Amino acid sequence: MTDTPEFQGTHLFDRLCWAKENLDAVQSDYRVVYEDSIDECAKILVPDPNWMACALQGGILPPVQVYWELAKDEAQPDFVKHTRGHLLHNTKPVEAMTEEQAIEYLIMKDCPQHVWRNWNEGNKPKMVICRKEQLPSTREWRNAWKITEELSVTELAA
Amino acid sequence: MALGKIKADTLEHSTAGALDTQYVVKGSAKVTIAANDDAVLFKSFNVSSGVDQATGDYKYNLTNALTTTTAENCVTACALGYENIIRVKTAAATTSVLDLHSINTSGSSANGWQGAAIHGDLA
Repeated sequence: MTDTPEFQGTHLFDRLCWAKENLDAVQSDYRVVYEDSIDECAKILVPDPNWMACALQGGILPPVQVYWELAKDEAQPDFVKHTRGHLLHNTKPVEAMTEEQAIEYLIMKDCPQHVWRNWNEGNKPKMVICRKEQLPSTREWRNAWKITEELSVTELAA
Repeated sequence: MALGKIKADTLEHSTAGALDTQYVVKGSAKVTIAANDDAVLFKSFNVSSGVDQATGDYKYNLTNALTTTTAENCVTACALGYENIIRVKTAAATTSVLDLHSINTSGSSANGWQGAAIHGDLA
């Protein structure tokens, strides 16, 4: 296995360039299905293969909390441009993750917080991790896709 | 980090003139995307995930955010093999989200494979 250079302090983009050159992409079979509005159909999040390779390798990606900090900056009404991008580059990178841990990280990075923080509040889950084979095989009636009401929050939690 | 580094402010050709290297740095694509109609990425750079949001509605999350929102930058996007138009949506665009809308020649949302690149400054 290729050793990751010491990347703390290296621009994140340069790390991604290194990863593209040195790591094989990993196409995950996991999908994250979530509903962020009751008026809209379910959304399907698919991990990027190069990103997944970085997550499994370790020492490349910043902690997910860094993304939350940048999101907070961006949510300010007077936001014009990022001035704390250094958080991405100077914060100690996270260690290698399993594929399952990487999916959890990705949920916290790319799914709306109101979905993953309250996924099990309600009559049915707002978010489900599944395998791609468990999704409909065609995109027919795509705008009607919903998380099934047969899934109970208590069963999933158990 | 043990990588070779060449530092230069200018590249000069023997006859064709000189070029400031900042044009190279600022002019290269910071994000590339090629994905199918399920938002499954098969050629990409600086992307953490694709989101299949609905018919013809796709979103891509970036690993290294831009300094300003994706909709404020130069985005080139096209349908790969489909007679669709790809529109960059602004409402949900952030510094780390590219929101694309694929529409057919009748103006209706339509699934399709997409390619996109973003030029801009990184955070």
